[in-house]
Amino acid sequence: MSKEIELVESSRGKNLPAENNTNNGNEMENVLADNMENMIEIAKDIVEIKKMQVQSDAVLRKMAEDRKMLLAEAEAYALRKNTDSKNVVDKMKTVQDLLKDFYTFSKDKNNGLSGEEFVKVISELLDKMD
Amino acid sequence: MTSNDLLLLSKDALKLCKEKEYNRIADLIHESYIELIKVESDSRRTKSSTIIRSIQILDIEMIKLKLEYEQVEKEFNLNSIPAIDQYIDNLKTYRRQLVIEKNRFR
Repeated sequence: MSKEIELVESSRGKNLPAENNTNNGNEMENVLADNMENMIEIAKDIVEIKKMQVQSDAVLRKMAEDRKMLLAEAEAYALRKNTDSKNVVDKMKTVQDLLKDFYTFSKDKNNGLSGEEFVKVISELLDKMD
Repeated sequence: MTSNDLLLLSKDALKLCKEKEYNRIADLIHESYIELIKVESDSRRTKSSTIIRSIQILDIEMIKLKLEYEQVEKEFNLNSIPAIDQYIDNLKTYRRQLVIEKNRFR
C-alpha cells in the first residue's frame, strides 16, 4: 500500500478572508474613532503653524516698510530743512553785503547814500524779500 | 508599533515643530523690532543733527550781520534801522522755532 499522502485543501475557514476584511474595516473604523480627537488636534496644530507663519510674514513686512519709510522721511526732512536754512542764510548774507557795501561806498560822503537814504533803501528791500 | 502609537508620536513631533517655529518667528520679530528701533533712533538723530547744523550756521551769520549793522550804526550815527531790527527779531524767532523742533526729537 502506497503511503502517499494526498493533501486536501480544507474547506474550513474558506470564508475567513472576507471576515478578515470586515474585521480590518471595523478595526480601522475603531482606530479612526479612537484617534479622531488626536487627528483633529494634529490638523489644528498644522493650521496654527501656517497661521503663525502668515501673520509673522505680515508683521515682518510691515516693519521693513516702516524702516524704509523712516529712512526716506528723515532724508526728506533733512533736505527740506537744509533748503530752508540755506534760503534764510542766503538772505542774511545779502543783507550783510548791503550793509558792507553801504559802509564801504558811503565813506566817500559825496558819492554815497546818506544814512536816511540807506535806511529807506534797506527797509524797502527787506520788505520785498519777505 | 500600532497606528495609535504612530499618531501619538506624530502629535508630539508636531507639537515640537510648532514650538520651534514659534521660537524662530519670535526671534525674527524681535530682531526686526530692534532694527526698527535703531532706524527710528538714527532717523531722529539725522533730523536733530540737521537742525543743529542749521542753528550753528545761523548763529555764525547772525554774528556777522550784527557786526556789519553795528559798524553802519556807528559810522553814520544811526540809532537803529527799524527794518533791520525787525529782521533780526524774525531771525531770532526762527532760531527759537528750530530749537523747539530739535527738542521734539529727543
